Amino acid sequence: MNKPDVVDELSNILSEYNPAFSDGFAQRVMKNIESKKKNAEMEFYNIFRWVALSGVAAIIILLFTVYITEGSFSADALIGLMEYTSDEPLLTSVNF
Amino acid sequence: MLKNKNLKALDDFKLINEALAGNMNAFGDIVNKYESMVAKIIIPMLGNSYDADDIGQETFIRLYKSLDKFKGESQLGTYLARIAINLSLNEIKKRSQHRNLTLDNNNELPNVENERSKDITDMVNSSLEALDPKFRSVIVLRHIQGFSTKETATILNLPLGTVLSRLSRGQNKLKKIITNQTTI
Repeated sequence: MNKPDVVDELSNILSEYNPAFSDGFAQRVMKNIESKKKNAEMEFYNIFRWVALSGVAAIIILLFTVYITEGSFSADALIGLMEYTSDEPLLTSVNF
Repeated sequence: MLKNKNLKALDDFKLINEALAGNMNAFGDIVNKYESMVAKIIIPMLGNSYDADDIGQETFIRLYKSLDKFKGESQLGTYLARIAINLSLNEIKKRSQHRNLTLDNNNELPNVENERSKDITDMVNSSLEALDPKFRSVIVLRHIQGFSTKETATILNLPLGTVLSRLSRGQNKLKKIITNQTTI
């Protein structure tokens, strides 16, 4: 059998070959995309929540450490200026 | 006057832009428009199984994720065909790694086609299954999907000469397989 015959015969057979996905394929795709989008949003929310919680925990630990070492929550204690008196210029103490 | 292919491309570009703007109905239109084309690539490659349905869905999900990267240098159909054929070839590789080369009949989807059409579909599916994936992919894109040899070469990222030689050898092999099947 020569080449054109093979191609013609194949084309005849394949012209009747019409495979298709089962019904509702497009709906399944859209549903799948929506659920993946929702999962991605949830993942972002979870990461954001963990970052925020870590930040809050760090602040609490910092405040606790300040309170233990300085015994106060005053503004001077928080910025580390408890040992300086108001009449002692800050710049003198660092030999400026 | 614009040719049909250009009009189709303009239409696709419009749908892509709308989908990128968040209009899911526009993406739904793309899925509806190309569902049959993707089925005509994946089902002959993998058989009419649940895997084929999953790979079909994955093809459109990949398209959705890469919509912003689609620059319109190629036709949307060619772009989708490339995703579909690559996912199918990966699935075949995965199956062969699991020594599961034959299609699991229990995994076949229920078919609602008429008897004659079903017979042809089954016959072509099993014949293609017996063909090496490198010949199968060329036959599917060229004969079932109707891409030109040049487009087939672009989709498979192969030189034109390789596609032509695989096509010729694949056609002869497939003809032999089909003849054997119909004479048994």
